[in-house]
Amino acid sequence: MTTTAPPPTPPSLELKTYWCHECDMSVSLTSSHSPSPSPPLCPQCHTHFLELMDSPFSQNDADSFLHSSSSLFDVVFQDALLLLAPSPRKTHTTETILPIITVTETLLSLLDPNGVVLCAVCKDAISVDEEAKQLPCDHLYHSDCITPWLRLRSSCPLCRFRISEDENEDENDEDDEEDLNGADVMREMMARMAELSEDDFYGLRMTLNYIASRHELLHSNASGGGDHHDASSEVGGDVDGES
Amino acid sequence: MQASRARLFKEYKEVQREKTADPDIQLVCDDSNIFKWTALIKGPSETPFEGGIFQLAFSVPEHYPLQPPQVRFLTKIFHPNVHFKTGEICLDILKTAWSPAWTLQSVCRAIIALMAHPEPDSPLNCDSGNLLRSGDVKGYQSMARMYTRLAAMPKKG
Ligand SMILES: [Zn+2]
Ligand SMILES: [Zn+2]
Ligand SMILES: [Zn+2]
Repeated sequence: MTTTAPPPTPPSLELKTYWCHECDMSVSLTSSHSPSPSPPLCPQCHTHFLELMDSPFSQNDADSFLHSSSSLFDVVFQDALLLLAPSPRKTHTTETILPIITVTETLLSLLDPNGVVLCAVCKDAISVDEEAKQLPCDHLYHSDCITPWLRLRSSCPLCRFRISEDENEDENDEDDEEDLNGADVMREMMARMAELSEDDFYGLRMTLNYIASRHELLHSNASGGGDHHDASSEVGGDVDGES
Repeated sequence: MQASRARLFKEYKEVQREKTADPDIQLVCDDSNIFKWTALIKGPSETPFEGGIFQLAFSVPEHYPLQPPQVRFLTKIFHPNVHFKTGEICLDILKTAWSPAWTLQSVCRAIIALMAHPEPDSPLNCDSGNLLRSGDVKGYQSMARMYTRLAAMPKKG
């Protein structure tokens, strides 16, 4: 008995956060033994439907984050800042209440070649036989997801198509000026975006559209003078610099 | 409440899955509260915020995504549309132009775009707005750059 077993390492009480799929909430547990043989148990409902959530970042993460290289998205995003977006088409419909439809395979494959349509409100895929509503702009949502939104604002979350006939809300000051060139570049960029993220979970297409149209707005506001034109998109927009 | 949790958890999982998709944004959910998030965003290049890392705090309402999240800068920033003391952000999509199709990630994107293209006509930081409105782009840029260096650059250690 000359060698003694190394003393058991003191249990490092590490606080870990799990997501309980049963309770639909996050729970914090202390894991006392590292290679725990039994799966963690939810203190609320005592089931094992727990999924480990990552801990927040450390300073190291922030450092490597700073030095990580830019992606294709970066390039696309930079393009977006320089682009002009075609303004959303506005037609008016008397159809205020949209009928609830039952989703069919035909409808899904009509909207997407792979038949995968994401509900932009809950970000879940819309399945066959689910109850849904299709807006006049063709965008499809779960019925339960879109109805509360339409009660707040009768516009499509994705393209802002207005559904109700009351036009006396804001946004009347938008002039529809077709910029074919801008639209063309935008279309090409959208194609590149489509390659990048198939299901567009984050709504990046919509985001790019928004950024581009805002950029256009800034430019048209700033260059009200006339002949003054800025192509290099200086920081701060096109500020009239007469002195 | 249930719907907002489910939606946030989807965003959480997507953020985990697509960590490298967007190197300018790092979104992290609070340990114990899925309605509280923090984001680190990189100052856009060719702006006075380049090289800086800015921290944002998100507070998500229980009716999310029908209601927009509340976002503010935790890192000091000199920008016409950000309140210098509180970090409050003046951005249409966080107010009247909100749509439930937006995510925390795409909100970060819009904020980066706002950093690159300030709107001096709706200022929360009047000094910064006045500089830009009076055409003093140089003055605005040097002030903004100074605060980026002071507040948003990682400390050498
Ligand atoms: Zn549970
Ligand atoms: Zn849905
Ligand atoms: Zn639509």
